[in-house]
Amino acid sequence: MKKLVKQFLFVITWLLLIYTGFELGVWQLNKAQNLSASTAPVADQPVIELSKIASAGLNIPIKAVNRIVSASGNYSNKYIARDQKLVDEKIVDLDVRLLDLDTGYSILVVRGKANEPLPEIKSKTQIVGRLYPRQNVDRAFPKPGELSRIDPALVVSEQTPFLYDGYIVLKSEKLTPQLDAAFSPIPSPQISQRITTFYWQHISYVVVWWFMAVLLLIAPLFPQFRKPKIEKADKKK
Amino acid sequence: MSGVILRFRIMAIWAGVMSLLLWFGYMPAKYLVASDTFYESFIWIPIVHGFTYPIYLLAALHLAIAQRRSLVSTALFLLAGTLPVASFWIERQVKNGSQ
Repeated sequence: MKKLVKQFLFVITWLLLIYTGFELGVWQLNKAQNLSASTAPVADQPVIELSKIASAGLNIPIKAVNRIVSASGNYSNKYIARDQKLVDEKIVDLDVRLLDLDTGYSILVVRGKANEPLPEIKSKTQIVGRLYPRQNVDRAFPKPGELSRIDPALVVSEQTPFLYDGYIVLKSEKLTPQLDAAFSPIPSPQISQRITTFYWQHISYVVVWWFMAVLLLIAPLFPQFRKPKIEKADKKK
Repeated sequence: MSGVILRFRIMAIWAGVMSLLLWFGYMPAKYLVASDTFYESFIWIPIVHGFTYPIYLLAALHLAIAQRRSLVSTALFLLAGTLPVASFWIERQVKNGSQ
Protein backbone atom coordinates (compact mmCIF):
# COMPACT_ATOMS: atom_id res chain seq x y z
CA MET A 1 0.00 0.00 0.00
CA LYS A 2 2.79 2.40 1.00
CA LYS A 3 4.60 1.59 -2.22
CA LEU A 4 1.43 2.25 -4.20
CA VAL A 5 0.95 5.69 -2.59
CA LYS A 6 4.60 6.48 -3.26
CA GLN A 7 4.22 5.50 -6.92
CA PHE A 8 1.00 7.50 -7.21
CA LEU A 9 2.66 10.63 -5.77
CA PHE A 10 5.62 10.12 -8.08
CA VAL A 11 3.36 9.95 -11.14
CA ILE A 12 1.38 13.03 -10.01
CA THR A 13 4.62 14.99 -9.52
CA TRP A 14 5.86 13.83 -12.90
CA LEU A 15 2.61 14.92 -14.62
CA LEU A 16 2.62 18.25 -12.75
CA LEU A 17 6.17 18.97 -13.87
CA ILE A 18 5.27 18.19 -17.50
CA TYR A 19 2.21 20.42 -17.23
CA THR A 20 4.26 23.21 -15.63
CA GLY A 21 6.84 23.08 -18.43
CA PHE A 22 4.10 23.11 -21.06
CA GLU A 23 2.21 25.99 -19.42
CA LEU A 24 5.39 28.05 -18.98
CA GLY A 25 5.99 27.60 -22.72
CA VAL A 26 2.42 28.68 -23.49
CA TRP A 27 2.86 31.70 -21.19
CA GLN A 28 6.01 32.77 -23.06
CA LEU A 29 4.30 32.12 -26.39
CA ASN A 30 1.40 34.38 -25.37
CA LYS A 31 3.85 37.06 -24.30
CA ALA A 32 5.58 36.80 -27.68
CA GLN A 33 2.27 37.00 -29.53
CA ASN A 34 1.09 39.97 -27.45
CA LEU A 35 4.38 41.72 -28.10
CA SER A 36 4.15 40.93 -31.79
CA ALA A 37 0.63 42.37 -31.92
CA SER A 38 1.59 45.49 -29.99
CA THR A 39 4.65 46.18 -32.12
CA ALA A 40 2.98 45.56 -35.47
CA PRO A 41 2.61 48.77 -37.44
CA VAL A 42 -0.94 50.04 -37.24
CA ALA A 43 -2.69 52.68 -39.29
CA ASP A 44 -2.85 56.04 -37.59
CA GLN A 45 -6.19 56.77 -35.97
CA PRO A 46 -7.96 60.08 -36.59
CA VAL A 47 -6.57 63.20 -34.94
CA ILE A 48 -7.85 63.61 -31.41
CA GLU A 49 -7.70 66.49 -28.97
CA LEU A 50 -4.92 66.08 -26.43
CA SER A 51 -7.26 66.69 -23.48
CA LYS A 52 -9.48 63.79 -24.59
CA ILE A 53 -6.73 61.18 -24.50
CA ALA A 54 -4.37 62.29 -21.73
CA SER A 55 -4.47 64.19 -18.46
CA ALA A 56 -2.01 66.74 -17.14
CA GLY A 57 0.00 65.70 -14.12
CA LEU A 58 -0.48 61.99 -14.77
CA ASN A 59 1.63 59.42 -16.58
CA ILE A 60 0.85 59.28 -20.28
CA PRO A 61 -1.60 56.40 -20.93
CA ILE A 62 -0.28 53.61 -23.18
CA LYS A 63 -3.20 54.12 -25.57
CA ALA A 64 -2.18 57.76 -26.03
CA VAL A 65 1.37 56.99 -27.14
CA ASN A 66 1.78 57.35 -30.91
CA ARG A 67 -1.60 59.07 -31.32
CA ILE A 68 -1.75 62.15 -33.48
CA VAL A 69 -3.20 64.88 -31.30
CA SER A 70 -4.29 68.47 -31.68
CA ALA A 71 -3.91 71.30 -29.19
CA SER A 72 -4.01 75.08 -29.13
CA GLY A 73 -2.45 77.74 -26.96
CA ASN A 74 0.57 80.01 -26.83
CA TYR A 75 4.23 79.14 -26.80
CA SER A 76 5.96 80.42 -23.69
CA ASN A 77 9.43 79.09 -22.93
CA LYS A 78 11.77 77.85 -25.63
CA TYR A 79 14.62 75.39 -25.32
CA ILE A 80 17.20 73.59 -27.41
CA ALA A 81 17.47 69.83 -26.93
CA ARG A 82 20.95 68.96 -28.14
CA ASP A 83 22.27 65.77 -29.67
CA GLN A 84 18.92 64.17 -30.37
CA LYS A 85 19.00 61.10 -32.61
CA LEU A 86 16.47 60.97 -35.43
CA VAL A 87 15.06 57.83 -37.04
CA ASP A 88 17.74 57.92 -39.75
CA GLU A 89 20.41 57.97 -36.99
CA LYS A 90 21.27 61.62 -37.71
CA ILE A 91 22.15 63.67 -34.62
CA VAL A 92 20.51 67.10 -34.55
CA ASP A 93 19.59 69.87 -32.13
CA LEU A 94 15.85 70.31 -31.68
CA ASP A 95 13.67 73.38 -31.14
CA VAL A 96 11.51 72.55 -28.11
CA ARG A 97 8.75 74.85 -26.87
CA LEU A 98 6.47 74.90 -23.90
CA LEU A 99 2.93 75.27 -25.19
CA ASP A 100 0.59 76.85 -22.64
CA LEU A 101 -2.77 75.39 -23.60
CA ASP A 102 -6.11 77.15 -23.48
CA THR A 103 -7.11 74.68 -20.78
CA GLY A 104 -4.50 76.10 -18.40
CA TYR A 105 -2.10 73.17 -18.68
CA SER A 106 1.13 72.95 -20.66
CA ILE A 107 2.95 70.45 -22.83
CA LEU A 108 6.36 70.24 -24.47
CA VAL A 109 6.32 70.53 -28.25
CA VAL A 110 9.20 69.66 -30.56
CA ARG A 111 8.89 72.05 -33.51
CA GLY A 112 11.71 70.48 -35.49
CA LYS A 113 15.39 71.11 -36.08
CA ALA A 114 16.66 74.14 -34.19
CA ASN A 115 17.53 77.18 -36.29
CA GLU A 116 19.53 79.26 -33.86
CA PRO A 117 18.72 81.73 -32.49
CA LEU A 118 15.25 80.36 -31.92
CA PRO A 119 12.59 82.84 -33.07
CA GLU A 120 10.12 84.33 -30.61
CA ILE A 121 6.55 83.24 -31.35
CA LYS A 122 3.87 85.27 -29.63
CA SER A 123 0.97 84.28 -31.91
CA LYS A 124 -1.90 82.08 -30.93
CA THR A 125 -0.93 78.55 -32.02
CA GLN A 126 -2.89 75.54 -33.21
CA ILE A 127 -0.83 72.41 -33.57
CA VAL A 128 -1.16 68.83 -34.76
CA GLY A 129 1.53 66.29 -33.96
CA ARG A 130 2.39 62.84 -32.66
CA LEU A 131 2.48 62.21 -28.91
CA TYR A 132 5.55 60.46 -27.49
CA PRO A 133 6.47 59.36 -23.97
CA ARG A 134 9.08 61.44 -22.14
CA GLN A 135 12.73 60.63 -22.65
CA ASN A 136 14.46 58.95 -19.71
CA VAL A 137 18.08 59.25 -20.75
CA ASP A 138 20.17 62.41 -21.00
CA ARG A 139 21.49 63.11 -24.48
CA ALA A 140 23.76 66.03 -23.65
CA PHE A 141 25.13 68.21 -20.85
CA PRO A 142 22.75 71.18 -20.87
CA LYS A 143 23.65 74.85 -20.70
CA PRO A 144 21.09 77.45 -19.64
CA GLY A 145 18.18 77.38 -22.09
CA GLU A 146 18.95 73.81 -23.14
CA LEU A 147 17.44 70.46 -22.22
CA SER A 148 19.48 67.35 -21.55
CA ARG A 149 16.46 65.28 -22.63
CA ILE A 150 12.87 65.97 -23.64
CA ASP A 151 11.18 65.47 -20.30
CA PRO A 152 8.51 67.72 -18.78
CA ALA A 153 10.01 67.09 -15.35
CA LEU A 154 12.92 69.33 -16.39
CA VAL A 155 10.74 72.36 -17.14
CA VAL A 156 8.11 72.16 -14.46
CA SER A 157 8.08 75.39 -12.43
CA GLU A 158 5.84 77.62 -10.36
CA GLN A 159 4.64 79.30 -13.56
CA THR A 160 3.84 76.01 -15.27
CA PRO A 161 3.06 73.50 -12.55
CA PHE A 162 0.59 71.38 -14.54
CA LEU A 163 2.26 69.68 -17.44
CA TYR A 164 1.21 66.80 -19.61
CA ASP A 165 3.53 63.82 -19.55
CA GLY A 166 5.44 63.19 -22.76
CA TYR A 167 5.85 65.56 -25.67
CA ILE A 168 4.43 66.27 -29.11
CA VAL A 169 6.48 66.22 -32.31
CA LEU A 170 4.93 68.74 -34.63
CA LYS A 171 3.36 67.75 -37.94
CA SER A 172 1.60 71.04 -38.64
CA GLU A 173 1.28 74.39 -37.00
CA LYS A 174 -1.10 77.30 -37.59
CA LEU A 175 -0.16 80.67 -36.17
CA THR A 176 -2.74 83.45 -35.71
CA PRO A 177 -1.78 86.06 -36.71
CA GLN A 178 0.51 84.54 -39.30
CA LEU A 179 4.18 84.82 -38.48
CA ASP A 180 7.30 84.00 -40.42
CA ALA A 181 8.55 81.30 -38.08
CA ALA A 182 8.57 78.24 -40.31
CA PHE A 183 9.67 75.09 -38.53
CA SER A 184 11.95 72.38 -39.92
CA PRO A 185 9.89 69.23 -39.44
CA ILE A 186 11.50 65.99 -38.34
CA PRO A 187 10.19 62.48 -39.02
CA SER A 188 7.74 61.31 -36.37
CA PRO A 189 7.18 57.56 -36.88
CA GLN A 190 5.38 55.28 -34.46
CA ILE A 191 7.90 54.25 -31.84
CA SER A 192 7.15 50.66 -30.90
CA GLN A 193 8.56 48.97 -34.00
CA ARG A 194 12.14 49.06 -32.76
CA ILE A 195 11.58 46.37 -30.09
CA THR A 196 10.66 43.49 -32.38
CA THR A 197 13.78 41.50 -31.39
CA PHE A 198 12.17 40.86 -27.97
CA TYR A 199 9.77 38.54 -29.79
CA TRP A 200 12.59 36.09 -30.41
CA GLN A 201 13.67 36.28 -26.78
CA HIS A 202 10.27 34.96 -25.71
CA ILE A 203 10.24 32.35 -28.49
CA SER A 204 13.61 31.06 -27.29
CA TYR A 205 12.09 30.57 -23.81
CA VAL A 206 9.18 28.71 -25.43
CA VAL A 207 11.71 26.35 -27.01
CA VAL A 208 13.43 25.75 -23.66
CA TRP A 209 10.25 25.16 -21.62
CA TRP A 210 8.62 22.85 -24.14
CA PHE A 211 11.86 20.98 -24.63
CA MET A 212 12.02 20.48 -20.85
CA ALA A 213 8.39 19.24 -20.89
CA VAL A 214 9.16 16.77 -23.70
CA LEU A 215 12.25 15.50 -21.86
CA LEU A 216 10.13 14.90 -18.76
CA LEU A 217 7.47 13.19 -20.87
CA ILE A 218 9.94 10.72 -22.35
CA ALA A 219 11.90 10.36 -19.10
CA PRO A 220 10.41 6.87 -18.36
CA LEU A 221 12.15 5.63 -21.52
CA PHE A 222 15.55 6.59 -20.11
CA PRO A 223 17.68 3.68 -18.87
CA GLN A 224 17.91 5.44 -15.48
CA PHE A 225 14.31 4.44 -14.83
CA ARG A 226 15.03 0.77 -15.39
CA LYS A 227 16.60 -1.23 -12.63
CA PRO A 228 20.17 -2.30 -13.43
CA LYS A 229 20.50 -5.89 -14.62
CA ILE A 230 23.02 -6.68 -11.88
CA GLU A 231 20.53 -5.58 -9.23
CA LYS A 232 17.84 -7.78 -10.77
CA ALA A 233 20.21 -10.73 -10.85
CA ASP A 234 21.09 -10.15 -7.18
CA LYS A 235 17.43 -10.19 -6.24
CA LYS A 236 16.92 -13.53 -8.03
CA LYS A 237 19.65 -15.04 -5.88
CA MET B 1 31.98 7.23 -25.61
CA SER B 2 34.71 9.81 -26.37
CA GLY B 3 32.46 11.53 -28.95
CA VAL B 4 29.64 11.82 -26.42
CA ILE B 5 32.00 13.26 -23.81
CA LEU B 6 33.54 15.70 -26.30
CA ARG B 7 30.11 16.94 -27.39
CA PHE B 8 29.05 17.41 -23.78
CA ARG B 9 32.26 19.24 -22.87
CA ILE B 10 31.89 21.66 -25.79
CA MET B 11 28.25 22.37 -24.96
CA ALA B 12 28.99 22.67 -21.21
CA ILE B 13 31.65 25.31 -21.91
CA TRP B 14 29.29 27.08 -24.33
CA ALA B 15 26.40 27.02 -21.84
CA GLY B 16 28.74 28.29 -19.10
CA VAL B 17 29.93 31.20 -21.23
CA MET B 18 26.35 32.09 -22.20
CA SER B 19 25.23 31.86 -18.56
CA LEU B 20 28.07 34.16 -17.50
CA LEU B 21 27.03 36.67 -20.17
CA LEU B 22 23.40 36.35 -19.09
CA TRP B 23 24.05 36.79 -15.37
CA PHE B 24 26.79 39.39 -15.52
CA GLY B 25 26.03 41.16 -18.83
CA TYR B 26 22.36 41.14 -19.74
CA MET B 27 20.81 41.07 -16.25
CA PRO B 28 22.83 43.96 -14.75
CA ALA B 29 22.20 45.93 -17.97
CA LYS B 30 18.47 45.35 -17.63
CA TYR B 31 17.93 45.57 -13.87
CA LEU B 32 20.79 47.73 -12.52
CA VAL B 33 21.33 50.38 -15.19
CA ALA B 34 18.89 53.29 -14.89
CA SER B 35 18.35 53.51 -18.65
CA ASP B 36 15.25 51.84 -20.13
CA THR B 37 16.96 51.16 -23.45
CA PHE B 38 20.59 50.33 -22.56
CA TYR B 39 19.91 46.61 -22.22
CA GLU B 40 18.59 46.41 -25.77
CA SER B 41 22.24 46.14 -26.90
CA PHE B 42 22.47 42.90 -24.92
CA ILE B 43 19.20 41.36 -26.07
CA TRP B 44 21.03 38.83 -28.26
CA ILE B 45 22.40 37.12 -25.13
CA PRO B 46 19.13 35.61 -23.80
CA ILE B 47 18.04 34.79 -27.36
CA VAL B 48 21.23 32.86 -28.19
CA HIS B 49 21.21 31.25 -24.72
CA GLY B 50 17.57 30.23 -25.13
CA PHE B 51 18.04 28.62 -28.51
CA THR B 52 21.31 26.81 -27.69
CA TYR B 53 20.38 25.57 -24.21
CA PRO B 54 18.29 22.69 -25.65
CA ILE B 55 21.41 21.53 -27.50
CA TYR B 56 23.26 21.46 -24.17
CA LEU B 57 20.34 19.52 -22.68
CA LEU B 58 20.55 16.93 -25.47
CA ALA B 59 24.31 16.57 -25.05
CA ALA B 60 23.98 16.25 -21.26
CA LEU B 61 21.15 13.73 -21.58
CA HIS B 62 23.07 11.66 -24.10
CA LEU B 63 26.06 11.50 -21.75
CA ALA B 64 23.91 10.71 -18.70
CA ILE B 65 22.24 7.84 -20.57
CA ALA B 66 25.50 6.52 -21.97
CA GLN B 67 27.09 6.53 -18.52
CA ARG B 68 23.87 5.18 -16.92
CA ARG B 69 23.89 7.92 -14.33
CA SER B 70 21.27 8.11 -11.59
CA LEU B 71 18.17 10.30 -11.98
CA VAL B 72 19.51 12.88 -9.51
CA SER B 73 22.83 13.03 -11.29
CA THR B 74 21.04 13.35 -14.66
CA ALA B 75 18.89 16.22 -13.33
CA LEU B 76 22.00 17.97 -11.98
CA PHE B 77 23.69 17.59 -15.38
CA LEU B 78 20.68 19.15 -17.11
CA LEU B 79 20.31 22.04 -14.66
CA ALA B 80 24.04 22.83 -14.54
CA GLY B 81 23.65 24.83 -17.76
CA THR B 82 21.55 27.45 -15.99
CA LEU B 83 24.20 28.51 -13.48
CA PRO B 84 27.30 30.41 -14.60
CA VAL B 85 29.94 28.21 -12.98
CA ALA B 86 28.14 24.89 -12.54
CA SER B 87 28.53 23.76 -16.14
CA PHE B 88 32.28 24.50 -16.04
CA TRP B 89 32.56 22.43 -12.85
CA ILE B 90 30.59 19.54 -14.35
CA GLU B 91 32.71 19.73 -17.50
CA ARG B 92 35.86 19.38 -15.33
CA GLN B 93 34.30 16.44 -13.49
CA VAL B 94 33.47 14.69 -16.76
CA LYS B 95 36.92 15.39 -18.18
CA ASN B 96 38.69 14.07 -15.05
CA GLY B 97 36.37 11.05 -14.95
CA SER B 98 37.09 10.15 -18.55
CA GLN B 99 40.86 10.20 -18.12
